[in-house]
Formats: sequence, structure tokens, C-alpha cells
Amino acid sequence: MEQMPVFVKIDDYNSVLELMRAIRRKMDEAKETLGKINELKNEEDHQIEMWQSALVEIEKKIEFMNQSLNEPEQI
Amino acid sequence: MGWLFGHKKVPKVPFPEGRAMDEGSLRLPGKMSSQRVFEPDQIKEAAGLGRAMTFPDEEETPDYSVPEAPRPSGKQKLSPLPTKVEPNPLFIKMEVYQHILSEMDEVKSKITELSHINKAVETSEYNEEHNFVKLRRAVRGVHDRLLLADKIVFKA
Repeated sequence: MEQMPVFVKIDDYNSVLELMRAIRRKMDEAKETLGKINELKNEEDHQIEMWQSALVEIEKKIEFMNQSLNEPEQI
Repeated sequence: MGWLFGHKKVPKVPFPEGRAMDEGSLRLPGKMSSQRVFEPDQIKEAAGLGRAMTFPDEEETPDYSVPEAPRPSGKQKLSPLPTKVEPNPLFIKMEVYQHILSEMDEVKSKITELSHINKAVETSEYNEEHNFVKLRRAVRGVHDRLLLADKIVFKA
């Protein structure tokens, strides 16, 4: 026996469609915000890398000064 | 030169002879008959514009329109929703309906997951901010002490 398809009736599907549109607008908004956050994070990462290299340089200089003050004959 | 450009030979083909018109011969009309001209009223009548229109009952032929298949996830551009909205109720197949419900459940669980991630990111941001404050304080301490050392070294 051939199976007949069963259908579900949705009365107020206009409001469902409107809701779907609103959800998609919010999705676009979220994607845009995430893109901006990603941009900020990349910039932050770059700044942190600069911090790190500056700290390494400062550490080297302080080490040199320390060595110069503690063991001047070694230099 | 007579041997080269001699007299042209005319083929001896008999000319067609005319025949008397009989009943079976083809004839073209000399003037267009008035019956071949279709008036606008005749066209309207043939198209059935004057007749009353009858439609089948809605119970007999329900709307079998099925919504679009779910789109694959990813960075694809979303296609626009249909702008024309018909006032009739929508009928969707049971399988499609169940699929929509399961997709909705998955979306809900994903949103819950995103909420947890958001909390974790907030905590991480707080920790990051706290660590930045500590870093700033440490660097200021280094700077102050360096200034002091500089003053002492240059005094000597």
C-alpha cells in the first residue's frame, strides 16, 4: 500500500517568516560584531608581542647594568 | 574562329502546355473571405472570458508547498527570504516539520553553548585586565627604581 504524505498546517506562518527575518538580521549583526572583536584581538596580540620584545630588551639592558655594577672587571 | 565560337545549340525541350481548370486543381483565393477574420469578441468567447469561473474546493487540493531545504552551515551568503507572502495557510510535510524541530533544538543547544563560551570569555577578559594592571604596576616599579638608580649613579 502506498504511503500518503502527512502535512502539518501552520496557520500564522507570516509571523514565523517575520521572526526568521529578525533572527537573520541579528545573525548578521552578531557576525559583524565578531569580526570587530577579532580585529581588536589581532591588534591586542600585536601590542602584546611588542610588549614582550620590549621587556626582553629591557631585561638585557638591566642584566648588562647589573653585571657592570657587580663585576666591572669582567667587562 | 567559327569552330571555336560556333552557334549555340538550343536544347529541344517542349514548353509546358496549359491545362483547363478542373475541380481537383489547386486554386488560391482572390480575396480573403470574411469568415477568416476573427473579431475580438469571437476570441474572447473562445477563451471563455464570458463564462463563470469555477474553482475546486480547498479541501480537495490542499497547498502542497514545501519550504526550502535547510542550508549548509559555513560562511555562505544567506539567500533572501521570499518577499511575497500569500495569505493562505502553509502546509508542510511531516518529515520536514520534524526536521525543522530537530534543527531548532540544535540551534538552541548551540546558543546555550555560546552563552557558556561568552561567560568564559568574560572571565578571561577579567583575568586579562587584572594581569594588565599587574603588568602596568610592575613596569612602573621598574621605571621608578631605574630613575633612582640613575640618580645615584650620576651623583657618583
